[in-house]
Amino acid sequence: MERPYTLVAELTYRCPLRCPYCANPTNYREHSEELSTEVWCDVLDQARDLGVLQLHLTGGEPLARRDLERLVAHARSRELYVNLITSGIPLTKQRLTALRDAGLDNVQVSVQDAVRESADEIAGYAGFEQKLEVMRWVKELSLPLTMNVVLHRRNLDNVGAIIALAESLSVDRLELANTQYLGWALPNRDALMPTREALVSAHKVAMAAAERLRGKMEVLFVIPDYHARHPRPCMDGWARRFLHIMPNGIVLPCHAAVSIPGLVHERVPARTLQWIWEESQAFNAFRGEDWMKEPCKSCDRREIDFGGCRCQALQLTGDATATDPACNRAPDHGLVQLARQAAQADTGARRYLYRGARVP
Amino acid sequence: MAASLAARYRIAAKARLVYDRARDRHILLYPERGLELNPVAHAILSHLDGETPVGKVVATLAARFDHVPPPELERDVLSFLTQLELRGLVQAVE
Repeated sequence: MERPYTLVAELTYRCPLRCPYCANPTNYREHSEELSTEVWCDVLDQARDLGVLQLHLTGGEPLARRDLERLVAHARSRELYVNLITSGIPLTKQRLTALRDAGLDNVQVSVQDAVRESADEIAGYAGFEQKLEVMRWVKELSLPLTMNVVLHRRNLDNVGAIIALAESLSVDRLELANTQYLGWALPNRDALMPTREALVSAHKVAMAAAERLRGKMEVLFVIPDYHARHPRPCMDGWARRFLHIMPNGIVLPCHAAVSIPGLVHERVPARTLQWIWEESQAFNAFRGEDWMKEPCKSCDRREIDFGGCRCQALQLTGDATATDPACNRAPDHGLVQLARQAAQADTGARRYLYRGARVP
Repeated sequence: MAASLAARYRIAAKARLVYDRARDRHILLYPERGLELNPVAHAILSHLDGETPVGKVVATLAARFDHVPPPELERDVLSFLTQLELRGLVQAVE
């Protein structure tokens, strides 16, 4: 059996931002209880013993945890590579210095757009200026800086300006990640999904920048699966490389898997990580190929994209074992084609359902 | 940008050399990824202190990996460092 390589630790679901594409589950309030510092430290020890080398501290907003410095120090003492995924709010330079001194390896700051007005409207929070300040501090403290921008209908035309902003801040790695329609993004799909033309043109701008900035800034453009021919190899395959832990200790193969009915949710500290990884029903549900139906079962790409995303298959077709409808060989590919056609229609401004609002 | 025998290198701030106990291998970790290292690659990286010239690193390795002909070892070290510098994983010290 493969060993996990990356642990995504969602420390809390508290967050001042209200992004309409938030990857947290829409029922996150039902999972808002939080593990103690001691349990997290023990979980980090177990993860390292199991083979984990990369740690992402995320949320919600991980800065909301007052023990973040202690968790970073503990992770670093176990030689984990510690990446902080943050909105940068709330943060002072003093606290960032303490986090660096505790052993933080990389800081990833989310930015919603290239200009304040639009960025703050997308985030549902006036935080743009503070984010720029935080990114300057990261560089002043000699920490590697990743800037992550989720792309969608509202900011895709600004990719050139977003790249220029990243350059002006001496960002080391720029992730231009097109929205994945899970979590809050699914009820917001009409408001977020771009036209094909906007996507193609932004992709060209990003590729030219990647070439021009080679060796200076890494530019990554993640093609959205709704517009690709093949589904994305979700999590590099179910329970192959990733461990995901929710604030309340539920351990899953991916952040959205809590939405799949029928999975038995095992938790730390009641169970060991090793038992959950190796033996639990949830981790074995879609591991390997036995669960596959046609056309995945005999597909020549089944070891490349693993049938795509189980959560997306469930949310679009009602069946988590279906071929991901993003795949052009999927029986339900028409569902994705319909969404694409709807995005082509110009219906003017589309309202967001912000994270935290009541889901209809 | 090609490595030379006189240059001095160190591992970049964003990268860290770690022993992966669970899989019994050495790995260079950096954001989101890791580079699995064979024994020679690991030996090269563990000798980068920002002070020792590459030529001296090659000489030290030649004694340990005596089954590799020295010109071949020198070529391997230089090309490995050139690749890693392009990926921003090692830095030449001025």
